[in-house]
Amino acid sequence: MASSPHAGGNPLSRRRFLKVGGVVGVAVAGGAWLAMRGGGDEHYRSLCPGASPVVLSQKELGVLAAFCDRVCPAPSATQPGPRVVRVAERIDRELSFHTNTMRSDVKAALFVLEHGGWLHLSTTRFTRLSPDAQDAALTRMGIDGNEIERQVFSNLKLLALFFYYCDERTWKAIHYEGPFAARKAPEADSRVGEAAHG
Amino acid sequence: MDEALRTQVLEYDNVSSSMKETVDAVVIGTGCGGAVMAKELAKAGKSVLMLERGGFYLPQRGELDQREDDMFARIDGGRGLHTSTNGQAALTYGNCVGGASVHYWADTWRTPKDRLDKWASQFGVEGHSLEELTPHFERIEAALNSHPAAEHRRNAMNRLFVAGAEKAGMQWEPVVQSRDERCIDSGYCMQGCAYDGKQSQLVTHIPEGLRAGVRIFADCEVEQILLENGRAVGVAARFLDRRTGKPSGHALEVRANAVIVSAGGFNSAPLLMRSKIPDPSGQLGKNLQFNPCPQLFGLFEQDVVMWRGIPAAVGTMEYRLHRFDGGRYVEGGYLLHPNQLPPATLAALLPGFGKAHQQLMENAHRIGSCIAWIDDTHTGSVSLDDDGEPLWQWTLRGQDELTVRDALKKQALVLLHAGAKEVIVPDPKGTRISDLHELSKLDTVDLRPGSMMFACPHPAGMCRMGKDPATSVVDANNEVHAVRGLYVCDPSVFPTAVSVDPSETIMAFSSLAAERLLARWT
Repeated sequence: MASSPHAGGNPLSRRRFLKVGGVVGVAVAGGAWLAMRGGGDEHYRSLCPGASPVVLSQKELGVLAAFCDRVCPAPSATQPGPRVVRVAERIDRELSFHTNTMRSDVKAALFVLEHGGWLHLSTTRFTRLSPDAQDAALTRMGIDGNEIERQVFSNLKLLALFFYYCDERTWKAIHYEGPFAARKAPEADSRVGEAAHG
Repeated sequence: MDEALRTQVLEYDNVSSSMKETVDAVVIGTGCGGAVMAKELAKAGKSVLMLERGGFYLPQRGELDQREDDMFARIDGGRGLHTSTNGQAALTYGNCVGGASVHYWADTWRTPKDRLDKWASQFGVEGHSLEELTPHFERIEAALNSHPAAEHRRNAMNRLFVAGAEKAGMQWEPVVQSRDERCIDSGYCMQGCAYDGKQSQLVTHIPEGLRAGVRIFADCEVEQILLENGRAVGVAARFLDRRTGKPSGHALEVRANAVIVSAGGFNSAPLLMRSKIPDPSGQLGKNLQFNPCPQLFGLFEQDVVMWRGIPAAVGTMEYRLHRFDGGRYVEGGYLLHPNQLPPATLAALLPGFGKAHQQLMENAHRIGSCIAWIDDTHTGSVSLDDDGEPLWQWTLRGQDELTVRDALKKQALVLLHAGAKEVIVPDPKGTRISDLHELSKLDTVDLRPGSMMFACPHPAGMCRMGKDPATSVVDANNEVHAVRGLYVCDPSVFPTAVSVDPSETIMAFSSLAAERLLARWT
């Protein structure tokens, strides 16, 4: 059918991820072990306080929330931030309706995001970087990164921005008047919090 | 759809035990291919049961609520998130009663004669000439109320496309639309029409089939095609709980004289593979083409609001066929149309992030877009993962990459001639083009996986039709060469992509297949 492109994407296949495991694995595994020594659950819980993920781990949700902070609009008087919209939690819940392959792909993507700095001889995890350094890391991944890094960045970005702008509270700032029909939540609704009530 | 007909559709919340059925024909899938086949068989007096993995959604129940997220979750395969394994292709297909016709744009095209001739001469597709298909086209167009949209119904993006094409010296033409007077130009075609104005299968062949006695089980996933002595004898299926998407615990076994697979161009081949259907040709699950769609955005001074109105009411056929000079690609190999994207989808595709992206979105109402449907020449394939779920492999390459670059240039030409201040390329760098002299930037823009995503809405090829069992999966009657009583009736059987929207071709092929199946019915 002639139909428009849609958001989303499976960031990288499990097969593909495993295929590059030799590269990522060697560089990341050692580095990740070192990196993870210094910060555990407490650090990641603080990145998305009060959340109870259903598919992602607390750590993965924290990494995703940190990513959304940089990709989505910052909170302002006219626009809610991704924390208010609960973008990371929304993506987590959405994953509960998808295949094991899709879930493990997103988990792998978040691992590469958090620990992939080792590929560039950086010992600091993504979530430990300053906001400016996080922006620089994302720019590097998206433009100059290898195929896996580009996929990680572009597909997580698709998810974050799509679900952010699905929230009614973001529409005024972009001059979108919204649908003509009243909302009726689907049986398999992945919205969370206030957004779930439309 | 009136209340009496709705009762012929069984939904998840009305299934309380496992079931067994015996019918003349079981049809797997309720999109363009399945709906036409089921309707024709039922009108000839056959007992027909249609099985649909997705749910059943109606405007009368407020379920087509025009929200992008809700409607991806309801009517689209993979809840709108399925891609090729490298993330380069966004796979656009339906997963609901009515199939992809529920989200399609309603543009309606007869199969070009050159494509039918190519299928006959290169792939041995017999009995599908333009002359043989024309009566079916005529019936379908009458049933779908197909005609060009009136000029006054063109939205701002359509008018900009016409203005830009004319200034660029391109031909353009109105595109035939399948709509009736209930269409209010809301712009929510992709989310499923809340007004029954778009003539999808939900408001055309499915009600006609139900009136003829067809029954539909929604939320019902076929796991296996049942074979006995080399013949298809039915299917094993399971009901899904729509609230979770997971099996409800209730099973279904259907015995049937004819098993008709119409699960769509992306999913029929995986079902046959999961069912271990013999494939002496080695072509099952291969030859995937799907019209990858590159698109550009233009930032205008004035409001465009491209999410309102009829999408693709106009377009140009001028570049449909590839042009070569001495074997070297010159240009063409695509259709060009004004684009329509709702806000969240637009946001997901625009380049950049953070503040830069936010500034673009603050001007979302002034952003217009063009889209091209590439007539791809290279192919992809499908395999199954450990859980039996399909994994689609495809990479943009070779001549198709040249075609994409040419299509991007033509889109930029239209947008700039239409008055765009700048053209925004959705590549990682967010390349901008503000002058015709900068079109050469598109020669080097990054098209590698992870850089630009292509919507891929028109799958074909993975159960291709042909005369020779050594090179094709189904014969000219849509019957699988290696398994009697098993038919594939959807775009999987097209040897290549159609080069135009395939919905009318799918319906016409199914109509013809039904006619021939009934003529041979024993």
